[in-house]
Amino acid sequence: MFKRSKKKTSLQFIWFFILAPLLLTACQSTGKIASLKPYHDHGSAALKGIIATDFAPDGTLWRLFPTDKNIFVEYSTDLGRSFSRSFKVNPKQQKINIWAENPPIIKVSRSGRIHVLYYADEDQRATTYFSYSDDQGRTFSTPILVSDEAATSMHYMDQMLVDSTGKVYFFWHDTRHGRHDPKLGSGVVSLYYTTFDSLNGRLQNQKITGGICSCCRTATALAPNDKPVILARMVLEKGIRDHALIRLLDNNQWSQPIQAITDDWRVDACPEHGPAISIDDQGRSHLVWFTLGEQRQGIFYAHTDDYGHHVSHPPLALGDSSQLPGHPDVLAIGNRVYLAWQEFDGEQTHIVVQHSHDRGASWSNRKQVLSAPGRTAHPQLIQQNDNAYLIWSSEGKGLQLLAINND
Amino acid sequence: MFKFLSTTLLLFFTVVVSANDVNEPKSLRLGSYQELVAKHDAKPLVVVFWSITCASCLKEMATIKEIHLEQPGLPIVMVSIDDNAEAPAVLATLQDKGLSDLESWVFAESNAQRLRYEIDSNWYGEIPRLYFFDADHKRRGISGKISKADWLELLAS
Repeated sequence: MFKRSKKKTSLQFIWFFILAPLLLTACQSTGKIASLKPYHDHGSAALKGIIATDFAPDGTLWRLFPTDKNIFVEYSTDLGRSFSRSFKVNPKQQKINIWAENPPIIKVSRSGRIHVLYYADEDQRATTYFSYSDDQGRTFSTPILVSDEAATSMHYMDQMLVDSTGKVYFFWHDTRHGRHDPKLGSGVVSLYYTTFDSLNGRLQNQKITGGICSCCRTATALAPNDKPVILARMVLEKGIRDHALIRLLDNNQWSQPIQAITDDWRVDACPEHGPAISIDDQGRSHLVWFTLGEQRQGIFYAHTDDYGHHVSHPPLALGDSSQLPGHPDVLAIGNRVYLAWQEFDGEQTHIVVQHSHDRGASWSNRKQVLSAPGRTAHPQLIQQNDNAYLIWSSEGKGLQLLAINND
Repeated sequence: MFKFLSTTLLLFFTVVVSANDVNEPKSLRLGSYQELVAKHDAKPLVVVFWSITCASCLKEMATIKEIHLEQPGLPIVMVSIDDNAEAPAVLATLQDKGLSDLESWVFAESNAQRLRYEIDSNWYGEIPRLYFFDADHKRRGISGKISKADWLELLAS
């Protein structure tokens, strides 16, 4: 009796895996989500409450769901109200190592290719793996190391950009030249990058600059000419940790870093508080950052039309200084600019938004829109067609997505 | 002669310190910090918040060791803001830096921000973060690695 029952269950199990992808495909064509059990059950809690997201050109919301051993990818066609079954990215279990300042990344290109970047501990603590899918997440390429010195150097704080042709840029903090500079102090690393535009081949690592503050995430964006622009907290003379812009020039050489912001934050420390950048279609770079400098303290917004040579002044102070405002993000869509940041009242973390209709000249009132208890990721602003969305994940409430209106 | 004596003294203290029992990091939860501080009531105290991944913190440890050897009666408490699961790595780092005999703690709340807020509602989380308490337990917070001269000045003030 027991044996027959088990056989029947096994047959049902096999049929499930044969039929499930077909059913899912059929439902996709009608824009509906099939009510399927997860293919891989990752449980309900993402590692440290951190979930990465991106929109595909067709409006599908993709999310990367990390656990302590695996990376999963899922999609939603109803703006996050429900998600598909889970697709596993890494075939072998790994020790996934992420934190709020160093989250995994998912990016979907115009062609629909899904790119995934995540961190795991290997020979050296924290290095990055890259994988992609060309079949809507059903299969992923074998994850490859991005760093060519992964066994001996830390590799973290990555950014991934996908340009209009599908060329992928990776940027990261690298310790291969050490973490100390005799003139600048401790916690000083190099900024590296590589590109990926073919199915095969080694990712050739190239240094952009030294003098990068090790523990503050570097921000990147594509300019209207499709070339990357970087905003980084650098360690400057006398150990001042202020922000500089670097861009890829038309001759494909990197510009020298231009100190765009002068806060005079002289500190030999790990602030764990990186900036953000978004560039509008007329080439204005919108910048947000955190500082505890001599000139100002807190989070701020400014913009520049010439990549840091001239910057709007004075910077716009954001947030309630009694609520530890931090980790701001910025998104420019046409003439509109959206800002989001987090505040903490001692019990809960709140997300506050503000927007401009005139490229950062004037601003709406600030508005608190989301709250959550417990550990949280940093807020993220993402674009879908002409719309702005706030995405935020936390241990307390999971993934929250909010369309930002322009009231 | 003075140089010889101080070197001998330093070697002596190093041997004594290495022979001491190792202090396993304790779990810092909500309320632990207040207990930690109260335990050292009416005495000068230094509390150092650090992380195993913070280069500035690791560099600062050489200065802390010097101060500890010169002022063994001064309580210096090391609090790692790393996840509690990293306690073995925290201890290994303290042993490597010759500081494992100091009182040691590691963050044990999943919401580190809430724990930080309870310690100091003006602290954004940058490390190293040092708190110097005088005998009346008036507290002064400093962010970033500081020199030995700064340490001595802060201890004297």
